[in-house]
Amino acid sequence: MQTQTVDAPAPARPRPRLRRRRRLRFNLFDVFVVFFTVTFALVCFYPMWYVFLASITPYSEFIQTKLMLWFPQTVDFQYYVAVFSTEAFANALFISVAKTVLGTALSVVVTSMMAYAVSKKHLPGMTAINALVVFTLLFSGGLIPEYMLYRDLGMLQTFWVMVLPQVLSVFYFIIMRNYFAYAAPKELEEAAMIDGAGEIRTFFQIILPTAKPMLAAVALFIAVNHWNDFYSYMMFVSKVPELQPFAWVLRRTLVDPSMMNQIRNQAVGSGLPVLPPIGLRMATIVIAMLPIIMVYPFLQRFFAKGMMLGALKE
Amino acid sequence: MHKAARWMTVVIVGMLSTSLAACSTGGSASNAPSASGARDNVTITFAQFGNSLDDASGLASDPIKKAIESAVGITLKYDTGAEGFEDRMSTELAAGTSPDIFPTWSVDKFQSWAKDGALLDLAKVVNADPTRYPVLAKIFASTQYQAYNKLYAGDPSVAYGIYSVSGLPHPSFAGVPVYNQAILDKVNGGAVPQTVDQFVTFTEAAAKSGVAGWWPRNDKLTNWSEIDSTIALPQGTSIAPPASNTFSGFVKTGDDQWKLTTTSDQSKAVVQQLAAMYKDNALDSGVGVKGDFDDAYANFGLSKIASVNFGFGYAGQFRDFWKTAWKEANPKTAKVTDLTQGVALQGSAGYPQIYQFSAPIGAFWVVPATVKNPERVVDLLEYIASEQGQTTIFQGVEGLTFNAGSDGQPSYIDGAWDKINKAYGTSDGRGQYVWFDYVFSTASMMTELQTKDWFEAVRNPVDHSSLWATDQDKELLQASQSVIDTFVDKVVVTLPDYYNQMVLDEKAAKIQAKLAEISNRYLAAFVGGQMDIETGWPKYVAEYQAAGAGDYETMVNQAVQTAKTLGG
Repeated sequence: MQTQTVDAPAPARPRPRLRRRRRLRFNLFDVFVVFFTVTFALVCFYPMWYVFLASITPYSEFIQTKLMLWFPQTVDFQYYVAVFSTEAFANALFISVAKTVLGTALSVVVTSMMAYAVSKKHLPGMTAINALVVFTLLFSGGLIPEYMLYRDLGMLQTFWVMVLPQVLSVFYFIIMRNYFAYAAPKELEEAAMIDGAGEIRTFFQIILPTAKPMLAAVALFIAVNHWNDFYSYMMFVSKVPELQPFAWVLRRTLVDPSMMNQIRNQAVGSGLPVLPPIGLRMATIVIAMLPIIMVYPFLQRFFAKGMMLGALKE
Repeated sequence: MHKAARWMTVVIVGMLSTSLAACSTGGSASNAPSASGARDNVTITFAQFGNSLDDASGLASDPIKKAIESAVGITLKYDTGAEGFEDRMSTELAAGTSPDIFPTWSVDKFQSWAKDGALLDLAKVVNADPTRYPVLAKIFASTQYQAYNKLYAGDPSVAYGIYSVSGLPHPSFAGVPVYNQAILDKVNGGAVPQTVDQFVTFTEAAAKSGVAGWWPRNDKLTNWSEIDSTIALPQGTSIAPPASNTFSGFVKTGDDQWKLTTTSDQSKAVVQQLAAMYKDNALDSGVGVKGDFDDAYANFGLSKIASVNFGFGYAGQFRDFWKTAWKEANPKTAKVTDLTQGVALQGSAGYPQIYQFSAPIGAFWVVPATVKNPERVVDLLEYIASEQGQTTIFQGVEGLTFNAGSDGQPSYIDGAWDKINKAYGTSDGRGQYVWFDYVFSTASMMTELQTKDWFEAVRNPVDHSSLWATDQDKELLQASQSVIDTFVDKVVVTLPDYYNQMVLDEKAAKIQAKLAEISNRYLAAFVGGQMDIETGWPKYVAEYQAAGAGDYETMVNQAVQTAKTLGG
């Protein structure tokens, strides 16, 4: 069998060119972006990782380790046992959960209802109400008038002063109002109206279900704010120790020697040795972070989408 | 639609009812008059910084609280906090909901509240019925107390507060390191350093042996006092920035003449010395990162630090340090002789000179002008000032916390005070109540106000800690006291009384804050090695001068002269 070896024109070879083009796309900027992103992620992640490692590392090993990267030789959970043996913690966790759940639910319901109403520009007075609400984002009366208002409302030294004043969140009100005004599907609204639904039914049964991603994102932010808030307790409720939220107990563990003494005393009372404060602090911080870290994966699927909602006009 | 409307109704009704419930639990103090007539039982709220109120059962069974309530015929409520405490007190005072008695450490706040009419004139209440308040009447009649009244309120007869004096029975002995004797034996042949050079050599030798040489109590690199007293002052300079109501940063150059030396060339040399020590871990390289009482205590207990300063204000503090830092870490082997207290170090300028005011005001205890029961609140203050009140606070209840001895001296019952005080988050083993203990003396010591003149009593509070000391505690106290006695003559200089009348205005306070910020920033960078001292020092000096260092020095010297004229 012979093979023709004449000077036949070479067949077109598009692949190498394509490959070359792809290789060119991965340029120096991409390297920089990847490097920067990974570095930034590590800078964000390492402190949390360090805190976690320190909370499970025996003190003798902890003070001898200059850079903690991986699990210690001996994993020790005695700091966690000590923290959970402190009476104030269990109660504070309950208060924080109650404050966060109730505060978030009320805030989402009230803020979304108001945002929906204000997004209806054909209603008289909505522009003025909107301006009044936004005004409070820019200017406030200050701490003392705020304190006196709560005093006159009889809210001081009660659980509700940590929840009710934050029920209308102006920042999220603006986001929701924009969503309802520009991104909510008008056709569905009109169809519901034609089918005989009123404003309230339309809002709850038609509009809100389509706004789930936005509501989830906003709810997460509000929940984080509630979980981390200790200022409202510190200024308005501090005479009632039974109402301490976990964020305040955490803060006290970090800065207040009497709180640290209390943890150590109760740990000794539970049969533990006298523990160094640094490990107790680290364990407390991890416990404070856990609930939000646990909630986040469940809301993540809404999160990226929700972040963009309300940002664009149709 | 109907379903949605029902839900809406439920939500709205729920919110309204919870708000009403919130309003109804606002909680007002029970002030019901008793049937007994003359002095009804009223509720008085007393606030103090830094205790804990988490242990409700411990609080409810507190026998000292009950004893005070019974003696004064009141119901006591406690209020406390650490973070945000002063801001909260200010806010509550403005809103009329503050505790009935609370402290402030700020002269500016005290004067501002007084000026605004927010405070009760205690002298007016007392002078209206001096037989009811004999101890307070004697205090307010004191010439020195009236001098402070004039200083703070502009009128010698107006007392807007109780001035808590931070006098000590013995002068503070800052600048004296405590050594781990085993390390001292290992790297220095057991010899206690006597000079700055010997001390530096010792810390470097300790660092070479694998431990940190020295922890000078400075966890945020903002507290330069111990470093200053130990290393800088013996060399004739002060690297510390100015601080309120002290001569921090200053060196005395003549009669009532003071020079700010924070950025002098001598200070530069000292900072270079410290940077070299820090680099080698002779000065613990964790300074600025580790906590003083937590991490450094723990590391010292584990023999990871060769020497420490903890600003021992009085002999009992060394005893507490030995117990908490050393014995806790070495419960089975700890001996008093494991630790050795050093001496003040001599340098090129001889011994350090540490200047102390004879009666500095440490805190102001105030009563709001809007207080509901001013006479009853002053009843409580009178009781606290009385011999009986001081005994209750500093010795407790006979048979419960102490037994009276045949010689009249009490002997303390083991563990009784710990049990009471642990309810408030205190566990330093002190033999006294954690509330009310610094109303008259910020040293938290007993004051003999009933039998002595106010000025004498508060300048010489009674250190009764030896009364409740175990044999080991007594040994520790004696060891400490002997160090203090030899130290005081050479180092501590008590300023004339007229220095107590020194006042720096708000402008000076602002400059002082700026200077402190600049010093903390530069000194931390110099010592930590983040900034080259040779190139950075001129910038430091320039920034210091631009912030008003020269003006501040002038203001201080003028304030001294003014005080001398007024009080001298």
